[in-house]
Amino acid sequence: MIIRFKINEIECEVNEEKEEMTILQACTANGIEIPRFCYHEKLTIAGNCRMCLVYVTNEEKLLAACGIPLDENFDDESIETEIDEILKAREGVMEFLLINHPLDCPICDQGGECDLQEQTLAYGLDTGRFYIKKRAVEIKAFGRLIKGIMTRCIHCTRCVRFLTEIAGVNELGVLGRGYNMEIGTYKKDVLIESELSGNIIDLCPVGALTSAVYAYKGRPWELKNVKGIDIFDSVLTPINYQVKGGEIFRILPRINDRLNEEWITDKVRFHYESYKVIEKLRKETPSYKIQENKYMELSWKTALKIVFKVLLNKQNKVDVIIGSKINTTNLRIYKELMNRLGSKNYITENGLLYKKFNYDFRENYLNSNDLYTVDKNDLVLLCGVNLRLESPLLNIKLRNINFGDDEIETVKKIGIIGNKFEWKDESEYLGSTVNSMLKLFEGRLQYCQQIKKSKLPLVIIGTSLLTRVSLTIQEIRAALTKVSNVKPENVVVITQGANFGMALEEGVFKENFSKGGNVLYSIDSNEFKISENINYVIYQGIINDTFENKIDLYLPSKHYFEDFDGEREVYINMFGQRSEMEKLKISKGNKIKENSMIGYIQLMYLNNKEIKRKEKEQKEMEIRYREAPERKIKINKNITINNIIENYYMTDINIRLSKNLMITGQNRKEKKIIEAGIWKNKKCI
Amino acid sequence: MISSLLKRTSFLNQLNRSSSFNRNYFKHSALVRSDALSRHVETEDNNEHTPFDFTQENLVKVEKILGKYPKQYRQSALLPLLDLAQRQNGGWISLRAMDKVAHICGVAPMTAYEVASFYTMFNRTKIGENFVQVCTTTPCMLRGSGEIMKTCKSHLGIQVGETTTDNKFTLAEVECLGACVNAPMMCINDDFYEDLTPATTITLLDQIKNNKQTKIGPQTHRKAAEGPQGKTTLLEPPVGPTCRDDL
Repeated sequence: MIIRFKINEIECEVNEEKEEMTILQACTANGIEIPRFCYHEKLTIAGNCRMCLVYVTNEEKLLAACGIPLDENFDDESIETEIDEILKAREGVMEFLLINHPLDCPICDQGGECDLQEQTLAYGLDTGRFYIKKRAVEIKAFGRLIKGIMTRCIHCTRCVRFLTEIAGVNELGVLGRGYNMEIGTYKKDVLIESELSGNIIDLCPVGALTSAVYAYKGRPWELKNVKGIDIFDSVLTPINYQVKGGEIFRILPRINDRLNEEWITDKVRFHYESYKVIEKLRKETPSYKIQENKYMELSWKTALKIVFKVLLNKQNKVDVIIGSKINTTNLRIYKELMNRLGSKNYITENGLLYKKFNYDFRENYLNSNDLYTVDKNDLVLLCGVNLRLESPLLNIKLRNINFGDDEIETVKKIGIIGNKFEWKDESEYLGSTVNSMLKLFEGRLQYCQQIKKSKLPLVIIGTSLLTRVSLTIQEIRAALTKVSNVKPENVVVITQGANFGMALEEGVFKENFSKGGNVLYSIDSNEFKISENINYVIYQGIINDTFENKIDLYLPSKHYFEDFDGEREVYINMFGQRSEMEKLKISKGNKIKENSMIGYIQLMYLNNKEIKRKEKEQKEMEIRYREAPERKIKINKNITINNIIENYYMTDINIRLSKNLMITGQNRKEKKIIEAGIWKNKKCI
Repeated sequence: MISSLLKRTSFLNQLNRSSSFNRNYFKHSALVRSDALSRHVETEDNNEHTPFDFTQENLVKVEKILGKYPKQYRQSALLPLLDLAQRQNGGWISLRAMDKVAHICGVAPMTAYEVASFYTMFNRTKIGENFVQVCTTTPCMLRGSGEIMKTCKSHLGIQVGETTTDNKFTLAEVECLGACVNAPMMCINDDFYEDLTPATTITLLDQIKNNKQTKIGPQTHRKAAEGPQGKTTLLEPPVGPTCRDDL
């Protein structure tokens, strides 16, 4: 049935069968803004702030627009949002909210981007009428990242809903009642154990939950937005760096409904602290090791001469390891460079983890399914993946799958192979070794019958599995399609590293890399152990903490977001989608050079048209699913599939150098809470 | 100089205290008592390591309560189970007890904390053996509940929200308990004591203290909520059912 109604004299139509809409959504669709505090597009409707009241003809009372669905009763009705009665009602709501809200806007970090401030200006009363003493609530500490000044809280419960519904932890709750109501953790000193906890800072409409790292640092109107990408996992979440005077002040998400919705991980939200530390600690000139812990400063000319001498020496076999943060242009440059030098022993940092990648086939490392339609899948099989640590943003997409009303029959809809972790009650644990996976391929598990029954199963394969088995995804896909009706695009690979897809696209990968040469050329790469054969290390990068003492020649390069010529640079995520990054300048030393620049000089690539041309050609990648080439496979069956990520807060140097993130990581490690997924709680019905 | 300044400030202080100019003449915020605190208070009796488990008898009851609800809605049993836990634990519910109940109901501990802190009939800090709740809502107040409260305070020697040193009584001020016809009244544990006077209050408290039997209901000659001239209506016996069978 098509419902026709008027909003402020604008005629609107809603097809009831096609879309379910609330009054508020209909208003927003027609360009009418309705003030709200508790309502949020991505969360369930609470309807407790009463700010979105609207007038509907033939209704006795004003209705809360956020929670009323448009149905046949609204046919031929008219909705008013700006009449006096409503303005009066909003004034009343504002007045009540402001009774206990402290007047500390000048020292509040939310000032300037505060919903309460803005809406008080628009709808509030000009004078207060309450002279009762204001209520005070004690300040609560939610770990090192989030500051809770709970006196400012207006009880919209957005944070509680986010943590229970989306993040899957139930640490916050509404305690007490009436005048004594508080948002809190009940017990003292409770950490919010979620990798996405920082998002409640963005959600809070007032200054109750603010970033502890950004506290008293800046004001939103001073900060300039620079578009960036979260390079700590392969989803490549779009983010905004907020910058003032060559310094990053904070990092906020950019909204992308297909990818990250509105969320970003804590890692990227708080890692910017490290840049300040790096600027203090780093060497600003090329330097050469004379003795242990003694370095001689060099000019770039001499430094590059030494590099050439080492690289061109025919007795040396050069290994090149390229960091995970490196961008596409640099990948191409360094591959070209190594080709010219005759070395084929190059790999990206993340490539080191994997055993086998047949990168002739794009479907081995990229996915066409970005889990946006995950709701349609009726069964999920997780093979050697700890999604919560490997990709928290995809994890929350899976978490919110509605498996329908089959709960009564206790059908196990989720299968897990690998590290044991709690999912919802429906999950079934299939084993921790490679053997259990092979059993699944052969159809020897009971679970296989369930996969056969399901119409649209989804299989997620993670790094933990791929690092331990020398199978390609194609081969796994082929084995799975034999036992079930999995479509090839529904076998999703979770890779590690920001630009890993692009690296494989360019062919920067080598199997059995560790049997390499005696010279190591590390380009902004830290996360590996140096093998014993190596007797000369060139480190070109920012700062190193894993093999600092072994570096013989150090070439300072810029951060990944400064590291390109033009205004923007392209990364490719694990779904083959382009993500663009704008240039941001924060490095202070004059002698620090871009990786691309160093590469060009080395290449003598003055005419760099070829690489520029490649850049233009690059588009979104098409992924076709083909059959795997046959080969003999030997697999050790008894290997257990453990998590590759042990500590979520130690995976990158930028994170290790951010004080607050590191302490959070340590605190959680002590409590031993990083289990795989917190699926303790079933969704409330 | 400093001394003169001190003198001046002390003078100002005196002025502040004595004169009719009182800064805080506006109404105070309500004092937060133990039952209303929205957080856990770590004490010797009530902390993370205080053990709690249902007794064998109560486990049977737990099964019975859970049986009333469909399996996927077993969180509905939260309130009756919290009540059961509170009864077993001597009138108050500890942190571990709430955790236990949450575990049985298959919800997060936080949900149990939310529920227990919302309802005022759950005490989340330790109370005495007898929980004395004096009603001070309007009808009781008009019939002299202020006097009753005063008597309780002076006789027990405690303030509202406190427990006596012998751990016999905890005093609380509550809102309407629904016995306005027999005002003023107070509720000790599960029993109502109505039509109170200061004298009857004292005898009652003494009887309870010495573990003697008490008269539940009106403390006068009045029977239940009958008027002064006795029963005038509803003379025939009541027609059943009086109560649900399954309760």
